[in-house]
Amino acid sequence: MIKAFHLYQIFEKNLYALKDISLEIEKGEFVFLVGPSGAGKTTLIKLFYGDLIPTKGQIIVYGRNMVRLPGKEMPYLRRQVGVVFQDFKLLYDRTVFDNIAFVLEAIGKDERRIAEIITGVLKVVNLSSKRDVMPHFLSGGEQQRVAIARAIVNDPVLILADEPTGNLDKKVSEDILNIFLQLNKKGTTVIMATHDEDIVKKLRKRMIKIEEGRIIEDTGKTE
Amino acid sequence: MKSFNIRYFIKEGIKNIFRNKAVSFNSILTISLALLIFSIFLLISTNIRYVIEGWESSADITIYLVENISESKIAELKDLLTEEKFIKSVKFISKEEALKNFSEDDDIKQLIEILGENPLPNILEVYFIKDRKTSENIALLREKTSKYPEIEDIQSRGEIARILYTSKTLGLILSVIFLFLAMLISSNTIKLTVLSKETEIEIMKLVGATPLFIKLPFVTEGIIKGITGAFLSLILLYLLYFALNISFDFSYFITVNFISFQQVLLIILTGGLIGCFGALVTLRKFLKF
Repeated sequence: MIKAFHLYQIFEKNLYALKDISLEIEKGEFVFLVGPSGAGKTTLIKLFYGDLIPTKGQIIVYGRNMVRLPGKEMPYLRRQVGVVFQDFKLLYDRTVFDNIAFVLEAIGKDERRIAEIITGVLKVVNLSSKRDVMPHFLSGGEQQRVAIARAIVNDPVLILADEPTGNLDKKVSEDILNIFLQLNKKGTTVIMATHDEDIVKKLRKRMIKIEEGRIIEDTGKTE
Repeated sequence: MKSFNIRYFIKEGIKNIFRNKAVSFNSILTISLALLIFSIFLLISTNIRYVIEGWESSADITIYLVENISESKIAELKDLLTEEKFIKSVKFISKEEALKNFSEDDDIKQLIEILGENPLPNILEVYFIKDRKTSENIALLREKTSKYPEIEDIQSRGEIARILYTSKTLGLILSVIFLFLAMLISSNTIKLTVLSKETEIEIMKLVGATPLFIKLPFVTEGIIKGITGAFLSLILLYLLYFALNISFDFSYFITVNFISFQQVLLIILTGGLIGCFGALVTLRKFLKF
């Protein structure tokens, strides 16, 4: 799914966000990206969905060379990738339904199918009853579930989650994590950045540890 | 893009306009005022052209004579003029003859009936030999005839047209300046929409909306504003035209014509283009991919 060779991300002279990162993540894997804040987790995730292009090195995502991918094709790659953030990034001027419908409209999906797809995806994140609620009236965990619903509405092959539980308490975090595990069970590759090592230890999934822009530990593929 | 849903873009464009009602209204008003200046200019130049075309004679030079000029003076003037090698012919047209020529024109016939007398002047029409109508020769004629008090005025063909042409150019330049300002203002209001939709645009990029898909609603927003402004300016222009016609109602020979259908289309098109380019300018600056 992802192959990276000697990635460097240099923001300013001598400001190395990533140093010599090489890794391979296979289809269907569940990978935790851990490390302290500022270690480079977010930068690495941005490279995975093409929000950044590496200063040096090569990266291949779902068979496409991100360094050489023409700008025209980027939107089509992004449709294969679902991204979830710590701060949800919802649109607060519209309902849960419209937050998700908006994504489907943006990629030109047939209007008649939109309602049907959204009903299905809200069931996955267990939010069917909140369909017509404005995000302001939702708890943090519920908002994150809307964000996940939005990320998976295109049936992505890869889900990238950048600290998705960073703002949530333990119980809610587990719920969110369970959704990701379920999606992973169905074959979706999941990469989740977190600094909560408790979650990681409990689950015994592959863990890649980053510190100061370098991989300092990779448990490799488990199971 | 597989399914190109025009309805979606128009809907989004209208939503954008209503998102920022006061600002949108201002920009529509600015566009309509700029277009109004443009259309007033069209209205005036069209009407003046009709008048000029109807009145200017085909002679190279027209010499206006006093009313009670004697036959001998006319002959003297004629000889004086034909003396010059560059002049082909000189033709005297008395006010009575002129009236006969004009009497096919109903408006003027009516006017004369009201006046009870013939307002047309006696004239000498002077024709030059081909290619000899130079400004030096015209000046020479003016000098030669300057001592005759029987001559009221000398007008060379194209003089009025030239003045008209200059004012037309000025009007056009003025219109272009105002239209450009309107475009900048419209572009600025679209910038506000773009900035207010930052998160929305970020998410659209994230989920794989194409740049065209993201940009088009702003372009439709601009075009809708421009066309609305154009219609508004046409309404204002019509009111103005209506007011003019009422105030000229007692005058029999000035009829103000409204701008032509093509000019109406031109104004609507210009409005649309102003909005469209305004949007494109903003998108170039604020939407990087």
